[in-house]
Amino acid sequence: MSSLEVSLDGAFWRFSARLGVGVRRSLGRLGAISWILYQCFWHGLRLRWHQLGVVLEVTRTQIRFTALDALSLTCFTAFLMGGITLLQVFGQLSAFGAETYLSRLLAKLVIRELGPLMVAIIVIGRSGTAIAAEMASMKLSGEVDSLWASGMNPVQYLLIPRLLGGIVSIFTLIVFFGAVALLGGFFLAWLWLPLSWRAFLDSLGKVIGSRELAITLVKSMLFGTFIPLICAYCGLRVQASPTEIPQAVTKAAVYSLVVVLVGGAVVSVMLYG
Amino acid sequence: MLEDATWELARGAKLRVKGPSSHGTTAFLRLCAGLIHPQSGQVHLEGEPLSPYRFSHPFLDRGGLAWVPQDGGLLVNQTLLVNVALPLRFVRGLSKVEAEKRALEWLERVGLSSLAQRRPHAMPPQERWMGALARSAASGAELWLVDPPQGGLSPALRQKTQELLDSVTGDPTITVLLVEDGPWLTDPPRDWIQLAEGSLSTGSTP
Repeated sequence: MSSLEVSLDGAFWRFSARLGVGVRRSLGRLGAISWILYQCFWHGLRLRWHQLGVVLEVTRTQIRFTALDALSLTCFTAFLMGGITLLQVFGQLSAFGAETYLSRLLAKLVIRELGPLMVAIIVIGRSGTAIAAEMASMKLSGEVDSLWASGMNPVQYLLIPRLLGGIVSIFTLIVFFGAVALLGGFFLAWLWLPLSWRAFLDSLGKVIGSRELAITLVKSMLFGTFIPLICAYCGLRVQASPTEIPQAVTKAAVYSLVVVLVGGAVVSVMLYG
Repeated sequence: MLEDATWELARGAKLRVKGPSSHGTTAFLRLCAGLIHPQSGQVHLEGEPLSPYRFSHPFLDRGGLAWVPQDGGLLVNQTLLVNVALPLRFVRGLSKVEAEKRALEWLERVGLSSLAQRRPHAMPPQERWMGALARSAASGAELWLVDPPQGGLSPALRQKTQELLDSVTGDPTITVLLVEDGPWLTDPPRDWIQLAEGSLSTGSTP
């Protein structure tokens, strides 16, 4: 074997190994998050009655921060998104004389796709990053260690409330987003466009059904489970230095966004494809 | 840190952990608490190994361990009162009212009742550490792992700490491991365990 063949052979394997590192890391993260999810499920089943009270207290705080404090931002975004979408869609449809499809198109766009996606982005930006930073600073300051050593299971006290809070908050915010985007959007468009309120509502009533409720529920469960888990996982991975906190927060936001985009697309294809 | 070391801590023992600075006395306590794990070998608590892949251990789950780290390790987003009461509610199953009442009693004993509604970040390090001591005392733990606060204690706090430790750990069934880092107690335990050059040795000061 010539030396040229050997060096080519070596370069090929080095290139393959470099490709493999990325795949291995991604699979490793996926495995770690699945393992944390399993731990949440398992330790959630092992919660005792008196512990449930403490967990629900923390969950209530999480819901306040994630849902209640984000409600005004969510409604404002929904109002603008609904209005702009309605104006754009009306412009396109009226060119073909198909204004009657307006509410159907808007309902599908807002309830099925835009609402869950925008809410997930708001929650990642407001609460997901906060969870990652909080977990990272708790880990570095020894608070997580103290919980464990005091017999307070960190999965039960830290992760399960954030997971429950995430699911409840995202479901609530998606419902509010949909309502404000549709009704507020209609109101905004009604100021400029010749739209009938009754016809709009009648048409909406025909479009929104159990399927829309199902997709809202499925996406709430998916996003509400994975956003807090991924963010907590990224935060708890810090090792020694406060300089790791911003890196953990960035990773948390990016991974959560990827999961939301891919997961949302998969759910939509499965339910409507 | 340690190589080829086997050691058993008898129930009721009271020991000082001695060792030159940076020889891993704090790490040794963390090892005993299951917060770090040996590269090879195992640490057992009441015969049950501490595993890095489990979030529970029978001894820890029943609140058997009192962990007092250098910085107190209190939850910064909760008040001192909630910090002391939380293990009583979560581990011992007391009601919120009962747990906070008992927590306040212990805070009074260490002279921190006036700071009960403060959050730990608004307290000096020594008082945070005393808060962790009160949390451990309130929980009624069987094994105490105590690392003294950075910067030491004032004579008044040292006296208060000594009184608290004497009253709580006087019970012959309670086991205590205290890191010796300067004269932070007025009457430290006579028995000791020393970490030096990767090995463990034990002894007693006459």
